[in-house]
Amino acid sequence: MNEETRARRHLLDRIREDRLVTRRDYLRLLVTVSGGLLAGTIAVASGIFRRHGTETGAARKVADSVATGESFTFSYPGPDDPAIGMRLDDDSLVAYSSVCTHLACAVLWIKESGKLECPCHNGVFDARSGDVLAGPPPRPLPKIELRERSDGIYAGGGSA
Amino acid sequence: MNGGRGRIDVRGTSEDHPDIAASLHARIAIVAVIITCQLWALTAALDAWLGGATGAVWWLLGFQGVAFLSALLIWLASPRS
Ligand code: FES
Repeated sequence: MNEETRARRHLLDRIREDRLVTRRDYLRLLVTVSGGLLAGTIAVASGIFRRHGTETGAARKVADSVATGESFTFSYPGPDDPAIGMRLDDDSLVAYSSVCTHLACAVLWIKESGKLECPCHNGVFDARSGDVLAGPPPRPLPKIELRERSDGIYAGGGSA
Repeated sequence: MNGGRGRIDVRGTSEDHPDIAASLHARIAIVAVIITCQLWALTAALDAWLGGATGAVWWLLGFQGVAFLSALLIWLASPRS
């Protein structure tokens, strides 16, 4: 075997090896992506994404009074948690986080239809339960407990 | 132009180690399937978290851990030469 043939064979061996290494590298890249997806799920479980309306806080007065069929807006439990409350036809008081569960637009109380509607993508929620009636929202609106006392309407503070 | 002198034809060389190549291909395919399942699990975990179903999030996190460990083992056990 002359010198040139030997060099050529050596180079071919290296190229073959490189091709296998490339595949192994690709496998390592996939494993890294797998680790990234695990890290993403750990981040989700550790609560980096805020859930509007699922936390509870101390009871707080949110309105003096509200007439039947009317609504009022407030923030609960924190100042960055917009909420909407209304008195339904049967005189019951209900309140929900007003952050749409689709893409976080503000939902509105439509008195005529008796439903909560999101103007962004026409999501419709049931005013009595918060359930999704139509549109793209994937989940019901989180409910907020309301209690009526002699001096006004209070949100939160445990079960009514 | 040197008329091809000095060039090396590497066509077909990837099959010179068919057993190793096949093993690596199979491992890549399996890990790709695992990653597809993990992508689903991540979106399901986010949906469960935002919906307040914390129990489901822990199950999905466990699944992600097992999936990652499987991918890691498949990679570590791959042929080296
Ligand atoms: S943001 Fe409310 S329906 Fe899309």
